[in-house]
Amino acid sequence: MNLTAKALMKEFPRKSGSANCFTVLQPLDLTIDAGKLTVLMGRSGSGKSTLLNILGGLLRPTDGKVLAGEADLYEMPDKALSAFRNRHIGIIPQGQTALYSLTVEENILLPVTLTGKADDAAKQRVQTLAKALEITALLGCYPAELSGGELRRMAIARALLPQPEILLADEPTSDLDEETTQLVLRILKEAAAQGSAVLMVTHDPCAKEFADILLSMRNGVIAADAE
Amino acid sequence: MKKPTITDICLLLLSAALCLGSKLLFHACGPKEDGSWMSCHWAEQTVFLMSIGLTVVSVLRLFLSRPAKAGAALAMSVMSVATALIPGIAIRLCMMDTMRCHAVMRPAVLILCGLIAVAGVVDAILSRKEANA
Amino acid sequence: MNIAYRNVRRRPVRTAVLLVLTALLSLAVCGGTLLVSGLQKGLGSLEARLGADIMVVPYEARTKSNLESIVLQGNPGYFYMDNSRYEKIRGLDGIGQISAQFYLASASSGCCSIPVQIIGFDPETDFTVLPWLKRSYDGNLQAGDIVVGNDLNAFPGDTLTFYGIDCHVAAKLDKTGTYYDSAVFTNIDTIQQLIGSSLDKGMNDFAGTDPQKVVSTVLINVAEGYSPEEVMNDINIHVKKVKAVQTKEMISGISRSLQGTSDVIGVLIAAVWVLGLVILLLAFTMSVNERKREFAVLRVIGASQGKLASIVMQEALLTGLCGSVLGTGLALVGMLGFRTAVSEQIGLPFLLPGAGQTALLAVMSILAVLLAGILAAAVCAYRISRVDTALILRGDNG
Repeated sequence: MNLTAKALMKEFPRKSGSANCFTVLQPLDLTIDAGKLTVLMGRSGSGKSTLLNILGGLLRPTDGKVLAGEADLYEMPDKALSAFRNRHIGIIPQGQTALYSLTVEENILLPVTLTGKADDAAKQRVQTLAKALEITALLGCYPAELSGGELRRMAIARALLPQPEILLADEPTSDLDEETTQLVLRILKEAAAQGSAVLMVTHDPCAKEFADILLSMRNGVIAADAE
Repeated sequence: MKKPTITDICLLLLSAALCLGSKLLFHACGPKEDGSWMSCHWAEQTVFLMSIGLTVVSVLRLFLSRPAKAGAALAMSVMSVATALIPGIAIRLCMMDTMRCHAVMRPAVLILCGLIAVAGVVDAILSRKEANA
Repeated sequence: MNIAYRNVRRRPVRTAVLLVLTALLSLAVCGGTLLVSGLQKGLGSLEARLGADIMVVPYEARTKSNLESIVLQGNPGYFYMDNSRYEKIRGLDGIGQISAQFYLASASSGCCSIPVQIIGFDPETDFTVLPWLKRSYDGNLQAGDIVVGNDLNAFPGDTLTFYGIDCHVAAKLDKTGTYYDSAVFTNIDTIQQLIGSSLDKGMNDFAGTDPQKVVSTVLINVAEGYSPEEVMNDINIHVKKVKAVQTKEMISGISRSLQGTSDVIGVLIAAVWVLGLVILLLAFTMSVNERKREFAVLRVIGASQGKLASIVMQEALLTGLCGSVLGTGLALVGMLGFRTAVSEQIGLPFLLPGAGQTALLAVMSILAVLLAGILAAAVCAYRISRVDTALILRGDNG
């Protein structure tokens, strides 16, 4: 499933200052192809995360539309959009995103728990993902006992669990050492190889060598090549 | 000594409350004008003695192995039921229900003993579950 | 795995605070309502037990405020007047039903040394004791038979000794919440015997009257066409050394203090509730605010706004239910277990409602607290379900 943005634009109202609002995303068209790892690079404040959130159906654009396959995300009511996100879009947000009252295993199982499908097959897949991300020993722990890098790998496993057709990763390697960074990048690349449309937003130069498509962003505008 | 469980703490606190309370808070009626005691006083004394026993067992339990602890908890349940039967049944209380031994001592002893009995049984069930797990 | 349940379990301090709060609310509403309804029922019971329009007592009984102490609070005591006054009152106009009662305070009763009020009545003319007595005892009281109030620790078949005379317990009255509960009732013959015996032992003061010819009070229901006030004034004017009082007036004093007590309890309940609701709302808001990021994560994973709201509501329901059951349980154990101590403390007629009504009250108080918890949580649930997920998850380098 391709993810397509058409004439996408985002403005945020300012609470103070002379201008009424500022434009984070200039009108842009973008397609994240299935089976490819697209890496979007850019400085802080360039609008990368905003774009990722809009593409993930989490932030309504000021103008334009987002199509996942044929489905227009922002035409759907909340319940349908949430269900669609649960089934088809995996998101790895920035920072720590654990539910602290659940174990690591339960955190990873969350997407299927929400739909009541936390069956043995899902649990088996958790084991496989945990092994790949080298967090098997941590499955029974609570998030408070984990380091930042371990939490990040947990979030990656959670996003990958439902085998989403679209995978959006916001700075997935920011807390990780070089070895683990390579590991995570390989896993994202594998997800793309298995047919997912993968978009990774980062300013980690290591990502360049894994990218099928490399884009850069500056002041809300996307350029075809990295800086 | 392993870290005490919530039921260990409950049993200890409840027994101590029964022990101290039966002398300080919910004691029976005072002496008659001639200085002699009414029978409720002896009910209070017996409850006090039983509660010392309960408190000692609840402390000793902390140093026992899990199965022995569960057994001691059940024994405490039985002891507390026996203690609950002291005022009014094993030993007669005063003539009027409005008197202190009826109005304060008996309900307080019944409630605390009831709670100890329940906590003892819960502890035994939990340790059985733990053993099976 | 239930997310709400896990959230409640894994945050023991927050859960404990919410449990204590909700328990406090239900304790206040259940305990307070039980107290107020106990007082109201006690007053109703007292009205029914007095059952006469006018009560006539020797003049000195009224001035020493003996009457209220004995009749309303059940403190043992006695006062006497000559039989001739009873006869004189009987001859007045406007008297419908009239019956005399005899009071005697025992020096000691059986095992324990507290005096008991013994009330003698005339089964031929009585219209206040018998209607209640008939509910527990069908037969006729023989000489030496007594009927004991509910607070006395004696049962039918037992023998109690007063002034050296063995009395046979024929029946035990149902609980009334009034002075009836701590009294012993008997007929004229027996009480005359007891009065005589107490006199022999030098233990009673009859103030120079012939103990065989005394009565303590005269109870009157006025005849149709007469007002109690009219008859009362008539007695006070025409019969010397007695004081006639309307029972309605006696009760109105109690009724006033009951109203005062009920008002205070009502204000206390309201204060606890206002404070409790504010803290509950704050506690829910804080607990949801500190987990904003967790809720945002749930949105990312595909939880709808409704699902987030439902998690918050489930948490509130879970803690609310446990807390209110705990609080209501405490209120019931406290009020039922220590009802006698409570009634002694208040010093007003006190009769708890029956099992059915109490159970209904308990259920209502649990529901009230649940409703309050749900309302407080609903505010938070609404806010959290509309939270801007992207803004919460946005880092500094977007």
